[in-house]
Amino acid sequence: MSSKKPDKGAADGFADMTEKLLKAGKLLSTIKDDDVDVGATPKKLVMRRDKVELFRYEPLTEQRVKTPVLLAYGLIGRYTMADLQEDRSLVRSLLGQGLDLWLVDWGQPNRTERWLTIDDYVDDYIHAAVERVCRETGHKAITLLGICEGGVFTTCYAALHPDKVKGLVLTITPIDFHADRDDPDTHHGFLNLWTRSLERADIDRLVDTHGGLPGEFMSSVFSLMTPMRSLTKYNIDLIDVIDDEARLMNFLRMEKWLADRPAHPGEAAKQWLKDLYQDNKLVKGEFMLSGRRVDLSRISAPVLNVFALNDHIIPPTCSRALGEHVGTKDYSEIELPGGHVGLFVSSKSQGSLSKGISEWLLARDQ
Amino acid sequence: MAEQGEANPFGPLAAQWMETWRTMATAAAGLSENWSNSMLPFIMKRAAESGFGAAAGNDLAEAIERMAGGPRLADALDFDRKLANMAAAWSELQSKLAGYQVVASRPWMRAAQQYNEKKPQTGAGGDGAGWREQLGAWNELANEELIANQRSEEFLVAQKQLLQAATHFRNRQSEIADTIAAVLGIPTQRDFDDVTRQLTELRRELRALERRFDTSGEPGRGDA
Repeated sequence: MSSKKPDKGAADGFADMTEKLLKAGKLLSTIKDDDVDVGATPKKLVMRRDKVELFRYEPLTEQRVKTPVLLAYGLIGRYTMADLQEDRSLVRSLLGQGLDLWLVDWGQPNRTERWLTIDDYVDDYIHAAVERVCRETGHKAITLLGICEGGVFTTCYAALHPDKVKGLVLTITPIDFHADRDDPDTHHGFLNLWTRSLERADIDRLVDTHGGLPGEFMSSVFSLMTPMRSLTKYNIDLIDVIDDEARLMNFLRMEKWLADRPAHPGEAAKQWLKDLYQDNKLVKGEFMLSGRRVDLSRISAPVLNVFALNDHIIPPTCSRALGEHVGTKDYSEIELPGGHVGLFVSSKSQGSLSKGISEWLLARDQ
Repeated sequence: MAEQGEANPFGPLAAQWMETWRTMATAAAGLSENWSNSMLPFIMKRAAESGFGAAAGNDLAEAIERMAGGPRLADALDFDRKLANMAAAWSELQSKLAGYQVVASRPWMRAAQQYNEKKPQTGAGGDGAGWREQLGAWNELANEELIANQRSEEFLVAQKQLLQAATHFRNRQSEIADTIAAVLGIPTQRDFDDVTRQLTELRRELRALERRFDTSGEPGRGDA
């Protein structure tokens, strides 16, 4: 028999953990789905086109920036990341800075949207939204604010319709899809590497079989990028915040956003993965939309490019590449600490992100 | 190989069983495939439709009866082939999954080895490092090893093969579903895709026409 006594620290830790687990179970059973609200900043529906909706946010203060700003998220995940909760909301912060903010929401695409292409998103949905915002506000051109894949869409739009774009703000947007090779951080760029490892026929078969890129599948690929964090999320992280109501609600809202991941429309997914991630056609000047070449040098509007230095999904090198391709001389960058999602939801980045954007806009708002 | 054995003591036995099953299923599917790739099922189906030459006349009534009655001999054999194909695809999927798990399990062994070498030292008073500190050290090591493994060629190939096998299996499942749907007169996934394709193309044409003729700038279309 061993004479070794049990480690008091470990025993206490175990007891503490058990107590918290019980508490967690009780508490979670009392929180309803409606209590965990995301994307709650008030907005008014202005236009609906198929499943796509155009909203105008209600102002929170006197308008300081006259040019309307249209926010476009990507098709992987939903825009609610930019409006997660009241004190962690890019949307709310921008409204607080006096912006006239609009949102194009892609809704919940499923197999019905299988045949939609990036051409449709850029030249139909975004174009219709821009025209509508112009009509409602009396402006000839507006500012586009793109997030991630939405940044690629707005970049393409700015190149194809330069007369409609007064300013282009991009956040965590990939432009050179092969520039992950220039990023020395091995935690960055797995998505680029993974996509390049696939055969083109694999992508076609995957999309054809499922009628799109399943959201659940993409979630699992994202989980691979932060493996231990994914594994300890529910058994350590959740327990850590369980006795702090505010932190628990943050955790639950984040979970709700992560779970709300519709399928990426099929043909658009093929373009995204093959034309852009594999063939890097955007920076090569070979990406075609609606029969027209997307020429980044035709972007004449001022550009603000914001990226996160610890972005493991879109390596900063992939975003930064835009500078050498755009036609405008008014090109600025803001690099912020944090990761892909942290840029929008962490308490640290809240002020700096919205302030950086609104000051840049205000300086060009003539 | 020692790592594989340690990672999963049932691994070799399970792999052997899987391989045996896979060989059997592949052979069965091969037989079915040879059968169905020949002209024989086609002729059998045609012959069955004509009553094997025994029922002369009244083709219309028989055709209606067949439409109501569902599959007959050759169709039934074709369905068997599809089931066998699905079983073979499932077996292939399990095989690729086992292969993937072997590759995915390796970094855990390396992390454990490193952790034993570097784990937080015991304090001067004899107390062990706190469990959170130990867990943190473990997480950091495991994370690095897992990420390094995911970037390896071996991992990327294993996950690609798993994805290919999963997609193939899903397609085989769909074949079965389509066959059943056809018997019951329910539209298949392919029918749905055809309809949505036409719908999407029609919308594009309509909107192109709208843009060509509408220069008024009046709000209206798509109003909420």
